Amino acid sequence: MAALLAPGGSVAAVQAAVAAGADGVYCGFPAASRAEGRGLTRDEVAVCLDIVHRRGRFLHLAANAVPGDTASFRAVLAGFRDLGVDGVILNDPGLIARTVRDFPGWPVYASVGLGVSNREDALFYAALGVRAVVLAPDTAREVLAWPRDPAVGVEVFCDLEVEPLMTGRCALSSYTRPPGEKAASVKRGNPCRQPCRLPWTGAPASGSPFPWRHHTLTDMTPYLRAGVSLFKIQGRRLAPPAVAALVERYRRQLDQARERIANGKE
Amino acid sequence: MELWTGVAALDDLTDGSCGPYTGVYLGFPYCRPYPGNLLEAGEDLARAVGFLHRRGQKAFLATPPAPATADLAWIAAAVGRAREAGIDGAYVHNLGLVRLLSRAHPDLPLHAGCFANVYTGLTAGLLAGHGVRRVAPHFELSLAEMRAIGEGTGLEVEVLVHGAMPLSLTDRCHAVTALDQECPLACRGERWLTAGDLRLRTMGQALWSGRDVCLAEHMARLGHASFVFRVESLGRDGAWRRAVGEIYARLLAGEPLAPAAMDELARLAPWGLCNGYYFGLSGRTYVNGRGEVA
Repeated sequence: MAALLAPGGSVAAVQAAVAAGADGVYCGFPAASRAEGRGLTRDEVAVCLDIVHRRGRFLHLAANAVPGDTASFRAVLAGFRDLGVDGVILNDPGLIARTVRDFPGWPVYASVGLGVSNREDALFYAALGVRAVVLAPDTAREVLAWPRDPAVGVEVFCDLEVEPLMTGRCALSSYTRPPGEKAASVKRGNPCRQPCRLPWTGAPASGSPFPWRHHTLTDMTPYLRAGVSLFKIQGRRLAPPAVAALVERYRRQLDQARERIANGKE
Repeated sequence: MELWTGVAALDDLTDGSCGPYTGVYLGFPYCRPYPGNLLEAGEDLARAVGFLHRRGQKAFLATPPAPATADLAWIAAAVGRAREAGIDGAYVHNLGLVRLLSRAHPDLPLHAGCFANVYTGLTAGLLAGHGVRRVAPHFELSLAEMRAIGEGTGLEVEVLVHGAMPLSLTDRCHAVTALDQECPLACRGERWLTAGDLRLRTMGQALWSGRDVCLAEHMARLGHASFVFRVESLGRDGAWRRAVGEIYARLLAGEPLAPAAMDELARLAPWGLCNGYYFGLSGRTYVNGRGEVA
């Protein structure tokens, strides 16, 4: 049955998400996560695990920074696996393959940062043993036409600020840093300076050459029928009340979509 | 040591500009309808392969970096026709395409491009198991990290030594989006975005660095058993391709870098030179031969 996954940028956000009806949350850890917002300490993750597990929910670790030292990163992952984290989201194909091998049975998810753009991509990661691939909105729409395949788990965002440049394929931040500064790759966990938001000339009169847009799913029904296993809300930097409001909205939508399918109304 | 480049159309070969290169990636992977695109050019592709092979040069097909599912069929067909034309291999960024092509053509050498996002030796090793024989680690990696990938995997490692870096991808050609019209062929000219002292070039679906990567001052110390070298000449004219190729061919032959050659490289880069990533610095940084940030 498809689940609703909420952002857990803080212990309070996790509490709010669970209370509002999220089936699961995803949290970051500073040494292992892209710094979209603050990550949680190991102790905070332990607290969040208690919160979610007491309610029969789950917690995924967003370990989507590509490490320079993959050996020590493995030790970090082992610690979280032993803590009871229910699954891990990774952003490097080789690291995914190694983690699936080293921690058999521990669910691994292919991050949206890998830029899965077609069905063969999804099959590539399925063959590595991932539980599911997380898709950006444009590719997620394609899923509606894919043949249903239980071997290919798919997760989509139901709420997301869509980057103007392809997810996982942008080095503008590290390129545009002032000369002499460290590269600070976003892929490796550094904050994105969002140079796409600068006032670029050469742009159309209508505005920025790199327009951001807000993506929201208004009807989950076709995605459910296509076999999507999880609907994800972006926003680890959101305050707890905002997280709760989004969870309530999409909880309602997901339950209504399930009901429509169950009652044969779709 | 090998020196490779890429060309979009047959004219870019027959003008003689590819003489200094060991191998050429054929096709413009960032825009399917690019005029004369060797990616699907049928007879032109066969002529291009024959042209290169008669000169003892290798010919690979350059495939799109982020194809949608609907693109896989025509790309697979293009590779099939390229094989019939005698292509030596394919340059692939997308892991779905690696999977598809390694199954359809298990004996076809694959080179993994910059948008395959090879950041770790683990990923390089994984791709080796799928028929990949050469990887272009992402530009953000340092030379030391690239050496480690080569040493750890036994794969060839492509290092961009000169030319623009494709930094980002858009889902549609930026010129089409910006001008809100059908293909304006804007990429045949030069289209720039500027913000302060920052410059980016738009060409097809890619956003390119305004500055050209340049490792000329470091080539004497660069030699590593696993390295092969690339000059990015997509969007440049034949004079540029030949001039830059001749300079680097001489460097690879062991000749010292002549001041006049360095001056020429600087002249050919109107928005400046860069190589910072290779030294752990921001991409638009330039580190000179003395190790100083210039």
